Amino acid sequence: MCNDCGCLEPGHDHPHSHETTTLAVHQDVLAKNNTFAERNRGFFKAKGVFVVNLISSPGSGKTALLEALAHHYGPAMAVIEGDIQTSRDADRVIRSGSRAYQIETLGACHLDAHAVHHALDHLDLSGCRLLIIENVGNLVCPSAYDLGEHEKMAILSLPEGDDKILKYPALFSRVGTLIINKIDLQPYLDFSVDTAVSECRSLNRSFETFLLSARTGEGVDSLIRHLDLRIQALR
Amino acid sequence: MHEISIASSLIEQAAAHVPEGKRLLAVRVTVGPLSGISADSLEFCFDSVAADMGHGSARLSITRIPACFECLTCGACYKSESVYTECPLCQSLERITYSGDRFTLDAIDVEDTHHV
Ligand SMILES: [Zn+2]
Repeated sequence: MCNDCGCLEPGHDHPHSHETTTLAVHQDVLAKNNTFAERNRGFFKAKGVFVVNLISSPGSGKTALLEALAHHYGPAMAVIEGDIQTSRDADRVIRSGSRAYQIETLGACHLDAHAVHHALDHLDLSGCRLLIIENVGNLVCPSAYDLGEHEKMAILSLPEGDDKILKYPALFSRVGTLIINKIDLQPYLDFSVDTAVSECRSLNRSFETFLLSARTGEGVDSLIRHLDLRIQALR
Repeated sequence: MHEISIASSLIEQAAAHVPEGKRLLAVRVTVGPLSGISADSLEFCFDSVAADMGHGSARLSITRIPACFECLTCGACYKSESVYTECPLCQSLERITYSGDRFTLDAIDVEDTHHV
């Protein structure tokens, strides 16, 4: 190999010129993902199902919330599970009467639209009004990937602290629903709901907040009313 | 960290634009503070991912852009690469955030591999 330029010509004299050219591209780096997201969106529209991309940290109470929703919606709800840490919980959702399909994420830190596209082959959505895509458990990586969902729903639980919103601006600038979970712990924790909500408003002027405890059931009915309105709006 | 998978899809995307007989020299991207992409992590892993993919000559060039904010307390408009930046005039965080979610492949630099 030529040491001067790395070309594969065996050691040669070096009078040859390397002319550098800049070529404009102007593409979204996630363009491929976005193409699949659009396809998914068309599929969801045809099925008349409202789709939520659920994003949270581990331990935020995601599974308890899914169970509470599965208990209410039963066969009208389906879940695509993308979080390995909670994979055993698919059974709990199914026992509540909802459908669930587990994506093999192979260690990926987020779901992408292509993975969801394939998961849809395995999930019968007939009679289903609500599909929840449970993303991989972290607040960073899933935020940039459009899955074709109607809205991103983030769960922030009181023990995580009220200083997390500006730390994860990519997520909180994109959420349609902000769930503040474990509200039953409010008397014991120094968490300012006002701080969290106003910081989220500093990034995003179009989201709704729900304070609830998935464990005790407090506030879950308001979230269900919100979801019902969104489901009805599709018809 | 998902910047390794981002780097490999970025290089794949860039390589698709390299004309035959040319070699990829630079990948030029723009990253905003709301993109969900850590420019530092991407920079850190790019060279080794590029080398693994047979584009050892490729370098990454990142343009970091700010987000734009409109203060709802005093009406000032300001820009910052950090969402923690308060209004420079009144220190309010009541604002509308306009942009900053950009993550684009803007251009590539290529060079001739032919010899004169
Ligand atoms: Zn101001």
